[in-house]
Amino acid sequence: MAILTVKNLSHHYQDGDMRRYVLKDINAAFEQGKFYAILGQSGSGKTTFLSLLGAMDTIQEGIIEIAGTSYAKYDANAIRRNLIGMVFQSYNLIDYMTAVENVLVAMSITERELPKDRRTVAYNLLDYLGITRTKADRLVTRLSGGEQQRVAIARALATNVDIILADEPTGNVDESTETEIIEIFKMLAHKHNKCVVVVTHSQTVANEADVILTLRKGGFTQNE
Amino acid sequence: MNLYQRALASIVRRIPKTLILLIIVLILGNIMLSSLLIVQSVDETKEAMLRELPPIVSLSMDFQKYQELLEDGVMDIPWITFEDLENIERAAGDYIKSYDYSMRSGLQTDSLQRVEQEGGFSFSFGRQTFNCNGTQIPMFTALETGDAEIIEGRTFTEQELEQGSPVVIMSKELAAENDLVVGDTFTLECVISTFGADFQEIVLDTIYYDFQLIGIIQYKSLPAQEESSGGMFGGFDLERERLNNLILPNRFIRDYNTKWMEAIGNYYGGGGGGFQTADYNPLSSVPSFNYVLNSSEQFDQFVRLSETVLNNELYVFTSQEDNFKNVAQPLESMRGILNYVFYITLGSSVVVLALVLFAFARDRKKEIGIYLALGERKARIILQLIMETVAVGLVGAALAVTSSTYLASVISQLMLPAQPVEEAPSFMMMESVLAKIDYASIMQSFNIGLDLPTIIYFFIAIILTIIVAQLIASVYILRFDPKKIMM
Ligand SMILES: Nc1ncnc2c1ncn2[C@@H]1O[C@H](COP(=O)(O)OP(=O)(O)OP(=O)(O)O)[C@@H](O)[C@H]1O
Ligand SMILES: [Mg+2]
Repeated sequence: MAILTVKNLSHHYQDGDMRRYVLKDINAAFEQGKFYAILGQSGSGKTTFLSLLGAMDTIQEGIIEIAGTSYAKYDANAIRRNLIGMVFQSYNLIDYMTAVENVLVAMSITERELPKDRRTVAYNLLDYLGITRTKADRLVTRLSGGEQQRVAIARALATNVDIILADEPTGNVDESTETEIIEIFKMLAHKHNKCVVVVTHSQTVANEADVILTLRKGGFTQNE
Repeated sequence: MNLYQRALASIVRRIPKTLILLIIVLILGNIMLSSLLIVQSVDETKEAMLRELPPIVSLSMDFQKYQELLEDGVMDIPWITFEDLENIERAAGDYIKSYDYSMRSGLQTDSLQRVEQEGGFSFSFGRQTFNCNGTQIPMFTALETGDAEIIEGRTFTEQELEQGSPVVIMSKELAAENDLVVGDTFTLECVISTFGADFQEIVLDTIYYDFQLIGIIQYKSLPAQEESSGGMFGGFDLERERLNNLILPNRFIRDYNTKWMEAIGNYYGGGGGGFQTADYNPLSSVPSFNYVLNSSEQFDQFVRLSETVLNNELYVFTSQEDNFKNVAQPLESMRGILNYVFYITLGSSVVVLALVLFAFARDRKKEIGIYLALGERKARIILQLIMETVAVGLVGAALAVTSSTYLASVISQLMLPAQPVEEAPSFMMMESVLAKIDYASIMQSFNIGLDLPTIIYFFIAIILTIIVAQLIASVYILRFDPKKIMM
């Protein structure tokens, strides 16, 4: 049973008075427990697609359903704080806060039921992703790129959502870190039953995915 | 990291921005609060001084208008009439505790010795002259204002006042000069005379009165002999001249003045010379009608109601407050300027702070984008920013409280002249029963102090300013698009 269903999704940008379609009649389904990679040339619309999935942009045509309910029925903000976790290429952490505080910010925004001792949960989560207690208490600006991306993943997971979306999460890290981060995503899908959708340019990442979707001329081709 | 923790972290970990905001609030707060303090201190000084003074409104002749009338050759001077007084009493009686007025006359006699002052003058053909001041009520104005005090004997009875008995109250100096004690009776021959063609005296009548001394008063504010020399009449001091006043019932003075009028009227043969006893208004000799009100807060209502029934352009109402404003002109104008400064600063604070907070929001675009991407509501983000700025603002305002008392006293020292710009003496002011408020005593009671209502008002003003400024700056945040910022 797919947790995310995309039906006839089209998206255009306005170029002067011309509409340029980036996505055209896309249909797709994403399930929990699977690791999806979205490939495609630069400018093919990967980020556009992921931002629609992540409720960061308004749907123009078509429908996206989450567990059977259309996004249109929700407030976009509420989808972001309660149903989806997102990871970005440029980590997007709050620079005057420590790693654990960045995780706690997400926990303070969501309306989901969370365990009482949030700080302990956040430390444990970071630890699980390879950020030790001492590093968790450091300002994020004093962590390496790979470490910062782990903090960002921890933040996405902190609200205990079922869906993790990532836009080129390994774009800024070296190869060995890339491998480690892929391992995390695989583990999240296979061990923790998350639905993980990763946009990437990297063949290494794609090779590890359960499903590869390639965006070409506004539509997907799928290899499993 | 809930909203409060986030706000706190932002304040304490982004010190430069916190300091910038703090300094701006401190500067604006100092200007605002010191203006407020000065405004409040002027008001406080005025209230305190007026509270000390009896609540008197004086209806007196506008001397300048009177002269204009004379110059225009107007013979029919619109004196206040008894009917006018009744009308005022009917219209504004609720506010009046009592009122008094003093008919005036003068006596020439050889039987009473004046208290002479240095350089004093005596005219009227070598006789001693005395001012006669009438009164309408036992608690006459000088007693009511505390200007004089009965130290021996008593004041008039209602009966004496009604009948115009020849009973007299005089200063202790005059009594001493003539070896008179309370209860003594003394006879005065009062000469009524006029000038002949070659400035020769023509005695028209001499009236003998058996006066009884019923009370002796002491004046409180009396300039000493030495101080008073060099006054506007070269050594002659109108205030010291009060020592020679004979205080009598108005009714007595009215009768005496009528005798004067009759004698002169007879001499000039009835119709000639404009002396018509029938036309004589006994109130024309009254310099001012003094209304003691129930409270000093009723000046305005009293004057408003009275003016509706009194259509006389020659007379004006003057209150202690008018008098204060007149003397305290430098304070009043300083108050005006700083009141203006306060509102200008308040207005520009909104603009200045909105611009600064707008710049801060631009600087925090990424952070705010992260909150939005994590699904935070815009209203809560703005609330967080408001909490941050208000917290810093409160600290700034508290610091401003400590420094602005000092600033306010520096400002007022710079703005207030040590001496009054000019003190314009006039006959009106000399005759006035209103307290002689002088600039020095105002300056003495003027001091800058903090009071709780002003501080509360200031805090409310500064917090509202900050909130409004933050809300204006937040319009920019409403337009933030997390996708553009993050992806
Ligand atoms: N806000 C926008 N306004 C107009 N055109 C846009 C906008 N955002 C993206 N585009 C265009 O839409 C197309 C798809 O952009 P998108 O960012 O989705 O590509 P992408 O596949 O993520 O590329 P990359 O691999 O370089 O990140 C591009 O041609 C881009 O120029
Ligand atoms: Mg992209």
